[in-house]
Amino acid sequence: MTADAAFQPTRWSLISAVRSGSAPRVQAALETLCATYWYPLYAYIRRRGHGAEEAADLTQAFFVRVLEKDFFARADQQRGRLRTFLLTAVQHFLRDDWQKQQRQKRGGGIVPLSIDEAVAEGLYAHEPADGRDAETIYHRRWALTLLDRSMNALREDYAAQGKGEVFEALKSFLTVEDEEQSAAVVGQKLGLEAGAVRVAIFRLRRRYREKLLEEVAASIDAQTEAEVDEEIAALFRALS
Amino acid sequence: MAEVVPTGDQVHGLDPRALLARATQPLDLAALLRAWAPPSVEELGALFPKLEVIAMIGRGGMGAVYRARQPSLNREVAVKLLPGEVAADDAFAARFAAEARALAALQHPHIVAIYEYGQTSAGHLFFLMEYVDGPDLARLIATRELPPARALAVASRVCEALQFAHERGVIHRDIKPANVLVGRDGAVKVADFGLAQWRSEADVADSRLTTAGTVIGTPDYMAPEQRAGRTLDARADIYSLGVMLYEMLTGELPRGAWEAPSRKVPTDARLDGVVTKAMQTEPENRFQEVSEVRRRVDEIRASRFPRKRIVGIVAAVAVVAGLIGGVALVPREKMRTPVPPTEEEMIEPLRALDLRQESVAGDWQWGAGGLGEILRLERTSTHSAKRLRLPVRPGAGGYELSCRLLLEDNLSDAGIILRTGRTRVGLVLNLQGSSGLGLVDGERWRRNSSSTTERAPVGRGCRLDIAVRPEGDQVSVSVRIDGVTFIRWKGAQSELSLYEAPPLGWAMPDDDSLGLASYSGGIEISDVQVRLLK
Repeated sequence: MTADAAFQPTRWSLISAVRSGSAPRVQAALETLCATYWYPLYAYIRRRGHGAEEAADLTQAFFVRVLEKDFFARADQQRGRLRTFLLTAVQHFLRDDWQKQQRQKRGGGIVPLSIDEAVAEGLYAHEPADGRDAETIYHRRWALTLLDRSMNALREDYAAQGKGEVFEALKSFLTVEDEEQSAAVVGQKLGLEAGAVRVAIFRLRRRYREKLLEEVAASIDAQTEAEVDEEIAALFRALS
Repeated sequence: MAEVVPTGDQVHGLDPRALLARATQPLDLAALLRAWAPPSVEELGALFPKLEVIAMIGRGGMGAVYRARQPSLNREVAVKLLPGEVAADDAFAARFAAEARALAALQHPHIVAIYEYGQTSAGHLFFLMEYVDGPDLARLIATRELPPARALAVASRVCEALQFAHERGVIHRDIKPANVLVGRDGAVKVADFGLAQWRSEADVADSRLTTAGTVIGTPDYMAPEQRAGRTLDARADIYSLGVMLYEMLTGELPRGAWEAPSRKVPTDARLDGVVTKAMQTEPENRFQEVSEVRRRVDEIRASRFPRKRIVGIVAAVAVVAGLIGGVALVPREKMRTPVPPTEEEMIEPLRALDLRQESVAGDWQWGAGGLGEILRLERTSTHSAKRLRLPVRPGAGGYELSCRLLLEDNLSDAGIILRTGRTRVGLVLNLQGSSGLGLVDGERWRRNSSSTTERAPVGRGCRLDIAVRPEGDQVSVSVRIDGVTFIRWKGAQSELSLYEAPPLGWAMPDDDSLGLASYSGGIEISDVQVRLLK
């Protein structure tokens, strides 16, 4: 396992480390795993018809289940996308086990996550009110989370270099095709020449692309570019 | 809560689908650089207030080059500008500066000097460099202005430059004809040392991001390990040098199962070995140091044209051919060809030419390749008889003169001052649309029997073969261009003018030497060989 794998906790390889690794590392990995997936799972559970309080409880209970030793043993066997695996797991959890799980586990063991219902509901209020099913919501939310994680990582990089302002001024160019005109306007704001702005935009695009592809590759523990491409296609579908 | 979760349908206020679409679009750096609009002369002037920017003189795969004047030092400079997009990240500037310092330290007569480097306020990377007034090798190859002797002279100097750089730990990485400049003064200068790494850095930083196979520039000259993106050393330059030498000799790139140079063009077969060894796939099978290449090239150069050689064997073969010819169907003309004399002397007059002594009129200069390689005469606005004496004095026997000639355009004209017996005659080429022998029986070339309105090729080099053969009191003069008969004249020696100056103004200080001439300039003459028949 490489040193930076601890910071890429969406990887399958890390999940196997969860079972065998040292306690602090496992803890860090799980925290990030929870932080990444809790809301897509919460939104899924909510859309399945559970109330806010219940959904928060179930999400936390599910993560307790995730902590159990045999949980990822099964994950390894069916080695697919973690996102899909977690979805299947939560479906299973809700369908068959949740009563039992609730009784046995709630209040005991390490709870890696505490969900603030107000926050969760605040987010959920933004979910489309149309007839989309829970699964669609889950995948969509996951795709947004991934885009957002990449964006946050990029923002932190810029901030670390004291260029937070540049990031904020230029980030809108990440979705703009024709950048010539607005580049000049932004340039005036930042006190940069148009050429320099163009270069800065190019770099921003390049780095966001890097971050995103890293996130995607890490999330599926991709071995090949084809796998990454496939996952990107899935992200597009999730966002449609 | 560990992490902020995106709200609603946006990511940092952006449309997620557009974000994903744009982020997963490959960043085509090559296309971006192609689309790059270099600053205008005025814009560049604003970026470099201490320079007088004169003109943009080149636009390459990864930048633009401008000619400028630096008034403070009263010198001409070249400004090489690279788009800021090649800078992969913010740490780039520091690495760029470190590398540029190493390049600036490469001070060598055959390396384009770097005076300054940095980034403009608009984000471009720039180099302020020595200005070389002259074409690059790619142009010389394209216009066939590179006879083998000159190709080897240039190659030797490129080797020298590379050796110097390699000894200082600098690899060129992009040896190709476009990066070898040939000044009008004859100087050979290698440009863009190490520049390719900025390009490759931009590629590497984007390796999984650009579409597969995106290569900026031409990979034709790249060593296999370079093409594969593996670590490379000085031997990658040796590979590229091999490719370039092949191209200089044959005019083509060695592609696929390439043919040895000597099988394609008349050139020294020993060069096949040099090219083959330089272009080995495995670096350990190549020349290990560029000095080895240079030594081989110089050996071949030194031995290529023996000053004197005995051609007894040729004579014997000719006699046999003549005998067979009597039986077989050999063209009559061939049968009449006199048996070559048994001894001949080969002279390369340019190699012994002292321009200051031998120029009679006009600003004759040494062009690419240095002394003794290419004689240039710049276009002049005035039409005057420019002439030069060649240090060759043919005796009573005949002689053959061959050379490469470049007439720049339709305004260029060239002349060869020939001599038959005691008579001197000028061969005029392309003067106002016609050619011929200066004066025949008192008539100027336009009207005399030697004249032709056919034109020697312009804009590209051609091979000129002239044979002057006395046959009793007759003399024949034949002129072939690229192997095709252009002028053929035969008559009594007395028909050729005894005028002092054939044609107008081509008077020479002595009667014995051959010479070169032109009225309007715009010519280059190289690879002059004279065979004196005895």
